[in-house]
Amino acid sequence: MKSHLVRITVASVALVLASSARAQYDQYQRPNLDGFSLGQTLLIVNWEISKPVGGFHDYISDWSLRGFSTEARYKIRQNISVGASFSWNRFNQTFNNLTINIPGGVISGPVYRYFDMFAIRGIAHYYFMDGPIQPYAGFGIGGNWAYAFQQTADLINSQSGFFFIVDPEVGVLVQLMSGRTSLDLNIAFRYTYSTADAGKQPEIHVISPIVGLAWSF
Amino acid sequence: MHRGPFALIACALAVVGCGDYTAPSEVVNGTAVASLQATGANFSQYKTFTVTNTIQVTDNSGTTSEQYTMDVPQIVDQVKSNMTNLGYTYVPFSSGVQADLVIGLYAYKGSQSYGGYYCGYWYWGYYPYNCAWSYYGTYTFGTLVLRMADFKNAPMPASPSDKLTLVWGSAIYGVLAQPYTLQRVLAGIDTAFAQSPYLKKQ
Repeated sequence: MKSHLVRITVASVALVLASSARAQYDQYQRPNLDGFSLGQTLLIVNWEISKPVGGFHDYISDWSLRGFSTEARYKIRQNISVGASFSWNRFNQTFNNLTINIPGGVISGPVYRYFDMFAIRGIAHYYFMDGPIQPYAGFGIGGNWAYAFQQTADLINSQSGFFFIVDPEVGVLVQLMSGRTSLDLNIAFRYTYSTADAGKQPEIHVISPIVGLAWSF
Repeated sequence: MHRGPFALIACALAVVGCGDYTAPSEVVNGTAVASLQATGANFSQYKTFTVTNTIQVTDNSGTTSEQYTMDVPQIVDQVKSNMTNLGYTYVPFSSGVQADLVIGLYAYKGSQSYGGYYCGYWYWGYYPYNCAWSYYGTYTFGTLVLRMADFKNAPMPASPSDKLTLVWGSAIYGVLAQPYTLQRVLAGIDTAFAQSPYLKKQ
């Protein structure tokens, strides 16, 4: 009987110690698979590839590989975040020979055009799922400073100003690494509308596949 | 603690932020041709034309009264050839010439600082559209301008400062600046007429 009691005591102590060790292992080693969570901040750096569409396509039709954005999001609810973003996109194209209608006639020749857009927006996102993979939809609204430039031979023309911008997007956060700071892959697709004018185009339409890295903490 | 994002931002800016803010040389040294007609111009009424046999230089200071001399006969002949091909009858130029249309040739040469507007300087301000264009940088420019005036319905100007009744005009940008070639000038003249199909006699 005494021997049996000793065995039970030893087994209990061993069990308690094992549980404690497991708890410590859980605390420090087990991956946090919650993804971007309530009360956390998410910082994102994106590379943006952009394609002019609509009337803006008539101004510049080439894809732009020059663009980036930064975002800061904060989860105010488990499935909603708010924040701010800054982005820069640059478009340029050279035309060997363009004929452009002007009042009373035409002008023709080789033409170089570029368009710069610096935007700052407030952003909000809704997340459809919790966990390491979080698809989302969101939008940004704010202002952008835009500069459009055209040159043919020794003549130039330009337009610039501060304009309204709005851009809905869909995307997904995929957790790559976790810890006190987690790393996610951000993949998104954005449509941008701006009241900026470029040449004779009175507004800007752009679609942008986006890829970036996101840190949450 | 969270330096990763900021380091990546710096790298991204360094990679994507450089280059391509100036036009390529094929654009800067290319030829732009503008052709404009007066509102309501009716070219079917004209039968004869002449071309001045000199090219007046106008620089951006407005003080030069010299003549442009390089390849003038070839330039005049190219204008004459284009008009003849369009169906008009050439009348040799002379003082007091009687022709329905008189085409004057002008060379705009000089240099201009960045942002200096050229508004109202050519066509005697006839086409305000050009107010939107300006010369780029500190630039040596050379533009050949053709002005076609109506002498059939409008009286001969009493003095050189009097305005002509212009029915058509063309500006051929860059062709009188370096790199200069006669072929480029002649091709520019051909383009000026080619993109004005309304000049053709039926």
